[in-house]
Amino acid sequence: MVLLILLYAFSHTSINAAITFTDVTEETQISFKHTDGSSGRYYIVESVTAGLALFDYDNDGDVDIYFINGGALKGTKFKEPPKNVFYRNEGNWKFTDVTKESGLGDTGHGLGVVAGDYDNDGDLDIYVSNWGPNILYRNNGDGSFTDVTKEAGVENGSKVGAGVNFIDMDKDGDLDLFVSSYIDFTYEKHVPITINGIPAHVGPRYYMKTPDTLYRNNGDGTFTDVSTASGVGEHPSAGMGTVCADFDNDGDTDIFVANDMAEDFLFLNDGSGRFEQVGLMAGIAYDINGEEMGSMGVSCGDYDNDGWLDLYVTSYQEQSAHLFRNLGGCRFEDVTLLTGAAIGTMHHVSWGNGFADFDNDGDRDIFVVLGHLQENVEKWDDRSAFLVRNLLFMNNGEGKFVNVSEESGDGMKVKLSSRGVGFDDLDNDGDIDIVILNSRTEPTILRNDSRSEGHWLQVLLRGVKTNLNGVGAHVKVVAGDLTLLDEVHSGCGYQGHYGMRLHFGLGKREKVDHIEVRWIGGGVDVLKDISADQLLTIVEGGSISN
Amino acid sequence: MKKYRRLKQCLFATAKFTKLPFIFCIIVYVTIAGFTGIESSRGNEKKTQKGGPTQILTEDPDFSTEPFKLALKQKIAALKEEEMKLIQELMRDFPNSDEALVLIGDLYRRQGNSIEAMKFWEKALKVNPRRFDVYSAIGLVAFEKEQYENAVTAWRKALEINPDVRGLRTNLAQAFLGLGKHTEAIVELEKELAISSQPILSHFLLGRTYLQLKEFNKAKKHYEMVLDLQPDHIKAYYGLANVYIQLKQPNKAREYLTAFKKLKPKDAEFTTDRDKVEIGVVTAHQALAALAIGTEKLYRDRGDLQRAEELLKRAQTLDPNNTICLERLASLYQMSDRIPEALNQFKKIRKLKPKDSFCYLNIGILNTRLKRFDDAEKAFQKVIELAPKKSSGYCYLARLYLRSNVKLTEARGLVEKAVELEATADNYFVLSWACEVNGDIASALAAIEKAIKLEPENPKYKQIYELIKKKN
Repeated sequence: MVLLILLYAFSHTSINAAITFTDVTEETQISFKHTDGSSGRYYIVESVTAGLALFDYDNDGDVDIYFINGGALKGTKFKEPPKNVFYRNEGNWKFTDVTKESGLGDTGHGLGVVAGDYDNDGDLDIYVSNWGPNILYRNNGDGSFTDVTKEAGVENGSKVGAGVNFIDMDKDGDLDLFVSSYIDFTYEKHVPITINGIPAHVGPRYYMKTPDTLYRNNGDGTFTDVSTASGVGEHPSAGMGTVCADFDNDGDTDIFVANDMAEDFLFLNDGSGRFEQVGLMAGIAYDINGEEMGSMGVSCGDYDNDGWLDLYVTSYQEQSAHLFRNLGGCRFEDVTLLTGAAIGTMHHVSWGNGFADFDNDGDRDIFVVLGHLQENVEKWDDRSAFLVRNLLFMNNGEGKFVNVSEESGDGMKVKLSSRGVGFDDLDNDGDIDIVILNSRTEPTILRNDSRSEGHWLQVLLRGVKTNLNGVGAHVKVVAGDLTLLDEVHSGCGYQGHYGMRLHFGLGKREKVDHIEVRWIGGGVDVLKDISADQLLTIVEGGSISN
Repeated sequence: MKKYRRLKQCLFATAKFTKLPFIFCIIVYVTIAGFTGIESSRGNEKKTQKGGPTQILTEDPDFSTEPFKLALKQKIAALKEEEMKLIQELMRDFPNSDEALVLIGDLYRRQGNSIEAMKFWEKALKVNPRRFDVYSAIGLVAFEKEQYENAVTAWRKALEINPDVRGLRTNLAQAFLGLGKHTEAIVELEKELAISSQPILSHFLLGRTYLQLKEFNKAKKHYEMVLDLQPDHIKAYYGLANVYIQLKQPNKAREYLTAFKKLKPKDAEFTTDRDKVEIGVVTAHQALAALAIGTEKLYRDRGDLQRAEELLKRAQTLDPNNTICLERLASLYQMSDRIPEALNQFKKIRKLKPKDSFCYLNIGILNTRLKRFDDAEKAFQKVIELAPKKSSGYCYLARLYLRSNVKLTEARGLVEKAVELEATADNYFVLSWACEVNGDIASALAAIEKAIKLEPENPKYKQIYELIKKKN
């Protein structure tokens, strides 16, 4: 009896180091080095670059990597202007720099990126947000992209871009475009500061806020600015990370905007592309104390498998990151303290993040990247550091998270100042790997080497009447006692893009009883008796494509 | 944000509390401020953080240029040299003083160097293991680093030494909350309620904890208590709105959210390092000023008022908006009977803190000593306006009238109000005086009897009792 009790207690409290990440950056031959455009002037736009995108641009079945880079800001000296860099995944952890042939080497001061097939021609296009004009790249389908920004009408002036998303806001089968903006910055408006006599970056409160922009896809390769008509343009703020998802489960896609040192926005869609900002009533605008967060990145996922998409929002130092549980009925609850999902984030700046079931045990864990934006922070505050290790919180399946960073392999020992992060199965082996963009240096590529014996299922959607990649589609997977929910998102995390191929950890369950796909603007397809451990491509109408 | 900030506020509240019983007497106040030096200096730190040194350059300095870098380096080097000299002086003149070690630790803490701070605090504890304030500071550092177990250990030690210290149990509760130990947190918060006179933070945390534990009626009760104690407590409005949403009372929720939104713009604090716009070395100046203020206290205690004054003047130059420095200068001048100079310090504080009733009270007292009746009267009237629920303004204005032998009936009314608000021995003493000069000897006797009952050891009250009795 005593033994039984001990075994029971052990099984619920012990942390088995089930998740292991190995740093394989060198192996990948990726040589990209990020620059923030700094030269000792401390412009605010240096501190917030940049996100990254993980997507399959050539439809060859593996995920490629696009790194966004800072630009040659005033005062910098580069032999060649820094540019965004694009890598094709060759398989077996080898990547080839295809920036030149792809035409994706923009030299603007880059911040955010999103991938989506806006012209429904079967390949993923790219939208990049810059300080300065943004860029829409149309995928030509032959490995190259064409800058179509001007003809599409989505330049968005000379704002400081932030998170960007493709979203079918009006359920008409094509992807519209949401573009968040940070603050109103020009060189002339720069606010120089020092802390303890050391030059430093100022926060967003010393600049004018700017409204976000929403473009409706006209279906002919052009877009119309509907910011005012849609309601999203009425709320100037300091946008950072964004994610579009159906938070109230009413069959249309809503928009969440993480704003830096201001209330976060939840734009609720009425189904026609008209939005109401309900962040305050939804309990998501502020933390549990009613205080603004220095919000940076955001991701959503159903961490407690209750059928509602929850939100994880990262923040500036002296605030922890926050986990908001979706209670349904358009209400969220700040469960950060209750769940332990942010211990270790308080004295750092946290950025990109994501929910993913890294150990395939049937619940989603949380990965958060950290790194201060003040390079000298240690000189005035030894609680924090510019270079920091990232954090991995394992979901214990009982509503709590445990920080397992120390026990999760050498990949978690990397100490840099990270910004964007993306999660996908880079080697198609059935578990989720990680790509991290680090400020001022090389990225980190983490291979998931967990010894989990959990089963899994990956789902790729192909829209027919609805948008081609199923952006916004709701996928429910039922396997025995386990019901999992996910959605296809175009744009998430810290101004980045990842995860269009949905990944479901199934634990010991060897098959899926049924899958339900609710297409945005389309019907509902149900598939039954699906084997685990495979990538399934579901075509709208209910068929499976190989 | 800011478990961190709230905790700090809690510690400062402790310091404020220690001052309260002595609010009427500057000299005694000085002694107390000396005793609670760490808290006082930290209180100042908080003020500078909240208000923030908000200087923005009109020109755009190019931080990358060599002249700018050189100028900054030189300024910092000069400050470091001065700081080192002061530390050496402290160690030379007060070699066995735990207070000196604490002051040096505090300096490092203000500079963000908690590792060095801990070294000095630990040395101070070796000299004087009963320094609960040092354990309190160690707990705060651990808490800020999210080392909640260490924070619990340090704060428990502080409470072992001084179980009556206000705010520490609230700190402890916050560490428990960080560990997910809600039951333990509730126990500590309830204990805090039992000992604290203004337990706003404890009620707020109880409200928040019960909200998370889905005990909505309890959460409601505590949030409402916060609003009773502080009607503009914006976070309590937010908490109550969330409680009413959970209780499915949307109209009430909306009502509190409306109040929350109305108050919200006022709450836009500039709190993070990115918000503290500073050109030059303002923070370094403030840290050195705080060290000078702390050091002054040691010299004052040993009777070296000249060195004490030098240090305070240097602190004032380094950090002209430091009101603690001005208060201490005022007290120093008062000790040396330099009343006009003392008054000038409070006038400076008045400019910086125009709603500080304590400052006006001192202005009134000092003007009384300078026999400036009109100025004293105005100052005490301002105290009543700013702090109508505190007895001090009424009592001191009554004293002024009684001393000046004017408005005697009004004086009695004022002191009756003071007694109604706070039934202290001193207030009864003044009431007795007011009754006596108005010819109501029976009431005068009754009042002085109450004063004696409250402070039986005070010989002055007994003498007055005898005098009135004889008159009768």
